[in-house]
Amino acid sequence: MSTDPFSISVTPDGDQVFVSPAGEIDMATVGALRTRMAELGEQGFARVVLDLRAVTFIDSSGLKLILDGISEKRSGFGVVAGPEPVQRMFEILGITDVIPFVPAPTSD
Amino acid sequence: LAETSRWRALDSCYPESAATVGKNVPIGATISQREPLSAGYWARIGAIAAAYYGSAKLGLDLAFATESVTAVWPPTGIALAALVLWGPRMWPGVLLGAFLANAWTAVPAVTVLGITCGNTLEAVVGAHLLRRFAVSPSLERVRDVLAFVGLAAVLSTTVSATIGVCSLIIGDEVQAGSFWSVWRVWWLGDMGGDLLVATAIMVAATHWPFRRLPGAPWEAVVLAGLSAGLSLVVFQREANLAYLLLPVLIWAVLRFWQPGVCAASLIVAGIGVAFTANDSGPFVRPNPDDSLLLAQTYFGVTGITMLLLAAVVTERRKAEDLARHIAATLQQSLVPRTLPDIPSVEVAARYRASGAAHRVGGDFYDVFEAGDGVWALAIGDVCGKGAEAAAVTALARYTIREAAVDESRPSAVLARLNAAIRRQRPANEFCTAAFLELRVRDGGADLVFATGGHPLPVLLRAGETAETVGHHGIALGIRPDPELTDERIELRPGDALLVYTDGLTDCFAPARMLGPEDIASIVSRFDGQPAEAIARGVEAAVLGDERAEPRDDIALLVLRLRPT
Repeated sequence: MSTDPFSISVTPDGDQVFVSPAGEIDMATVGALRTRMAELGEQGFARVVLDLRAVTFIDSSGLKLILDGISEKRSGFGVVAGPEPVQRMFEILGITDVIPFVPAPTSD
Repeated sequence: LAETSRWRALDSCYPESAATVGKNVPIGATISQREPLSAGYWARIGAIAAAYYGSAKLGLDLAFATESVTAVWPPTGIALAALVLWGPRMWPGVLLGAFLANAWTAVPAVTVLGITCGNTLEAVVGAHLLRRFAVSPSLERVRDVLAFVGLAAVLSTTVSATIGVCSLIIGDEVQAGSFWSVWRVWWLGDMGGDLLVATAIMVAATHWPFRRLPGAPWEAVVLAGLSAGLSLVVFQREANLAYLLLPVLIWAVLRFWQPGVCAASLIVAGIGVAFTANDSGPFVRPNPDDSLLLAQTYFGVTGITMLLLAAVVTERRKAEDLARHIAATLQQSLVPRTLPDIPSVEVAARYRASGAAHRVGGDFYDVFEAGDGVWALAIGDVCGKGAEAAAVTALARYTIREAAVDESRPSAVLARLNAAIRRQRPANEFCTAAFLELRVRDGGADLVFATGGHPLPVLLRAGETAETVGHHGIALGIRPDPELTDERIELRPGDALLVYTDGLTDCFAPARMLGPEDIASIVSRFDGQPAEAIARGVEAAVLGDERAEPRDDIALLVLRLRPT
């Protein structure tokens, strides 16, 4: 179904690490993202940040990933806000103030 | 369900009740006169005897070693199939046919009698074993094929070979020293009869009229022609090209399942045995026995392999049918069968589950009477798809039904659902929902509703443009104390309201994503039209002429107050 290929890039930044998926987060891609984030968590980064800036679409399975991140990692988890369609989805679901948004990395 | 009917079909193949299976009744005792033998019984006995005799004559023409020992012995297959399909009481038909077939050969009477008894006993033992181990003659399961090969083709055929060869030695037709070589040819010939002929008859009888097979009739003709043509090429040449037949046989398996395997095997083996017997083809060796052994090994191994492959195909198909059936049944249980008649109100609904037919959707809706004159409408979307989602959907639908009766405010109904999901489901499973209560009164209706993380309802006032109404609450299952608010609007005759799941806006995301304002402008086009026309129109406008499968389930509900 995906028209754009899905990719994940990882950028360490001090004691935190940015995980930046590009493309659609849905049932087909969320597994790879979840695995990657779990690996980084085990590598000892104080905070794993999910960077949604290059995400074109997120479905409920992606949302569950975010909710799991919040409840499992607490302050060790952050989200960089995505483009308008992604943010609108958070708004409809009424969870914009549940998600721990953090600023984008300063390096770029 | 499919399994049950298959077993019923199987039961009917065995005329005696299933209760006798497994009791180890001596074979002679089962044939006692429990019921009067009808004219139909004797007609079948005659048919079996005639078929046995005719095929024996044909088989003897292909005799290799002596007059009574042949390459493929089709009568063995006919006898076994007859006793499996029509019941063990048919044994006199086999006895009669075997006697007539052997009486005309130039061997002593004692040998004829011995061979006749051996042939009959072989079929009785084979049929009894198949029945004892509940082997279905349709050979649609791997275990059926394995059990058939082991019990009937390999084991029961030793009975006839042993008794037959001993009878030949007693009658001085065969030297005692060549017991094993004659026994081997006899055994393999009978095995060939079971593998080729019994399977063909059993499969034809149980699969008739072949409606379920995916292959088309013209394809069957092409396949038969190709099998015959290729066999003629292969078995006229000395070079071993027998492997060329495998792709054709596999084609037969994939498109025509068990009937395809049996038909193609009969064609290939028939031509192959005839050529080998006439010293032509890749299996010919100086000693005819060795030629026969090579040919029989080839046909036996390919036949069993293809039957196993066909069983894998049909078992997989059966599993798929079952999954589809379960999904469809589950899906039907998640939405109301019919919408209730609400006085002065029209209601229309659409539901479209995305993806393969065996997937259960994650959307639901419901319309029901929650109390005297109070009508409840619910719509929702649970996270995920498939069986997991269906469990949450069922929980949501029935929690809402119960809460709607107890609670006086829609926000309280959704709060109950929020609590139920948090209590009964793993962490971070959630659901979005809109719940509406409608009270019809003279000259209009009062609508109170709440939404939890759900797209807002779209209100179309008669003669105006549509707009979204209400405020977003939080999705249900996430927070212990969700912020949910009740909204109240007054509906006048001709006003319509649409509630939908996000599949409607996201069905072709991210290429084409619709916002609530897009949905509102689509709804505006249907001002003055009945609810059914609005539902149909919105669905058509959103799906458009897009040929791609929508990425998410779509559910929508439209209600409209009848204009006065």
